[in-house]
Amino acid sequence: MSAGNKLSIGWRVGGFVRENGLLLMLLVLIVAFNAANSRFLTLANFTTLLEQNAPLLIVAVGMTFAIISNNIDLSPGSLIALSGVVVGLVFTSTGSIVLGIIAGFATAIVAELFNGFLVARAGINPLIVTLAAWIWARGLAISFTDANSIVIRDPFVSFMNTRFGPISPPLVLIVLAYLLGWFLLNRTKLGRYTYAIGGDEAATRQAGVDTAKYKLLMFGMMGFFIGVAMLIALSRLGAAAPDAAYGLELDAIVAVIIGGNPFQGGEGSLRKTLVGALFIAVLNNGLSNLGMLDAYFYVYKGLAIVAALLFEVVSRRLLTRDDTTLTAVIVPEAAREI
Amino acid sequence: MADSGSQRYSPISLSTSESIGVRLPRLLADYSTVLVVAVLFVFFSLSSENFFTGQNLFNVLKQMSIVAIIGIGMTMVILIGGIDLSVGSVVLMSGGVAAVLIQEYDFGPWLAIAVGIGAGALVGLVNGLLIEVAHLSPVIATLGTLIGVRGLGQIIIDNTYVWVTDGVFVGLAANKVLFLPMMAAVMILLYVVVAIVLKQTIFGRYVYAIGGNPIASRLVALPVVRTKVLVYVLCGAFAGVAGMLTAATIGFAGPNNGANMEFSAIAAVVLGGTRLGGGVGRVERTFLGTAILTMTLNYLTIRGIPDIWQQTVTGFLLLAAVLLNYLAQRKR
Repeated sequence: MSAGNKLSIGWRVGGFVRENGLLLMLLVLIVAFNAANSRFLTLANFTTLLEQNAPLLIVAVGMTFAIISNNIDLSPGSLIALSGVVVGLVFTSTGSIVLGIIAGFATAIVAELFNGFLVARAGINPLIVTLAAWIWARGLAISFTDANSIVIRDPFVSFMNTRFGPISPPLVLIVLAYLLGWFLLNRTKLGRYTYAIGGDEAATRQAGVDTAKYKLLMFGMMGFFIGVAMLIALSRLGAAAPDAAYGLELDAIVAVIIGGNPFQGGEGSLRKTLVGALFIAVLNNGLSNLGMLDAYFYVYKGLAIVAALLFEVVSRRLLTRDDTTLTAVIVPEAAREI
Repeated sequence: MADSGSQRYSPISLSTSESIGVRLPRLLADYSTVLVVAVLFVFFSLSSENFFTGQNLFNVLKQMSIVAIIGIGMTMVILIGGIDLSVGSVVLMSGGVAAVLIQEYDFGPWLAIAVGIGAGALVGLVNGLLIEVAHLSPVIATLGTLIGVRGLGQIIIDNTYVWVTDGVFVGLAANKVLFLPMMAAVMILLYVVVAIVLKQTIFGRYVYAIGGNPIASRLVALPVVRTKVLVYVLCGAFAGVAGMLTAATIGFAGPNNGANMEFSAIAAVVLGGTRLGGGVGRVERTFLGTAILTMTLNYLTIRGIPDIWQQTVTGFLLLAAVLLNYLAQRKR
């Protein structure tokens, strides 16, 4: 939606609010948390906030691709746990962290390629495929470890937790992940076809694009981002835990959506995802800094999510009279074809 | 998303005037889930003497009843092209409401149960309004209520364990009706009622019509919004019933009641062959899907496979079901 010259000032202000609504809400949230806790808005806390939520921020990059292409992936949280456990097991038996990391990345990427194969080649609904992976990957992580964490003591882990001023390796990895994601989304065929597949998969295929190949690539890329997120989750804990990153996939989906990327795909950007993910990150950190009981934390988080979503939908409908949300059932593509 | 080309127009089996050539493949497909249940049942019975005993079969019925009852509502929601991720949280909250009312406010057990189930229905109403009136996508809206309602439930029980000592309430799990465990009887009754409603009433026809073709349903002026919201309300209410049974079985309402149950229920619906996206499926088959899941886990426990393998097995079962379904559809 571009702000053309003929639009009235009201429309333009409205358009600005719609485009940047969550950013405004994020600023309000930061100010509010700072009023409640004067140590909230410090560089040190901001670094901590980013480190805590680095796995979420990084997985959200892959999730953006999934949602723009009208797919969804429920497996990242479980795969972070499973690939972390693989790192732990290989490290324990060989003593080499490098071998462990390679095995961990391979696990995440192969598992996602398997998901991608079922979605892209067999045409099975991604919600079911990745729901199955959500269950079996977490299950394997528990089965392999007898539900115990594997402690990892290695210079690599302490390096990941080192701070160089306000900078630390997880922060660098976040920046690299977003740069890589931006490059792939905006400067490569993979990115173009991600939008095209989300917009109209059948038409894209008829135009001669091997859509299955690009969907497969996209899932494989998600596997890579999961590997990176796993390294951070593992180092922060100093252990491979079978219950690591529990519920991360839901946070990542929420981050992408409240950032303003439409759930039915076809459009969206990483900038929106970043704002959405930061919103969740600030909410996570701010609420827990207030010493809030988990229960209240869930309620506020649920309310904030619904509020942000309603804001998005209402502003979209008021400003554009865009009726696409009407067809936003879980298989929107099928509905549109009808 | 899934390329649904060939299956999209699968008609609802309404008419009786189809040729045998059309009906036979469909009959086979219809009974494939029954076949899987039968084969597993025979195999489990033959390979373990502890499986086919009256006591154990009653256990299986009891174990499956909670997920099976959630599965009823989930099947209807999936039939209209939606999904409900909040049911596990509703199990926690509704059980918590009933337990707190009985233990701390001296409510009568039946009134507390009614209020608890009503609270579940209320969450369903919120879901329905968010999805159908505010036009949020079902995955996202119910993801919000999954998080929010879990918190609400934990606040209601003050984030601790509320033990229920009331005889009637605990009796929901412990008592028997005729020869059946009460929970199993409730489950079977609900399945029979909902199967008949979906097959024989106008509401049931609307559910299939709306799921099969939402746009056409709107164009011919079916009450699309009203029906869909009602389905979400019913789904919440069924999750509320499951919440009562969960609290009655373990004897308390605790912060982890119902965790992950939404995923078990969706797995059961999919195992039963109901198609995500709507229009095609049957509530009876969700019963069979739950039976496959529960029987297998029960058998593994009997054979001494440790509990830590249960989740892995569940995941691969779901995967196998999805793959078999895909292969079966490709052949036709």
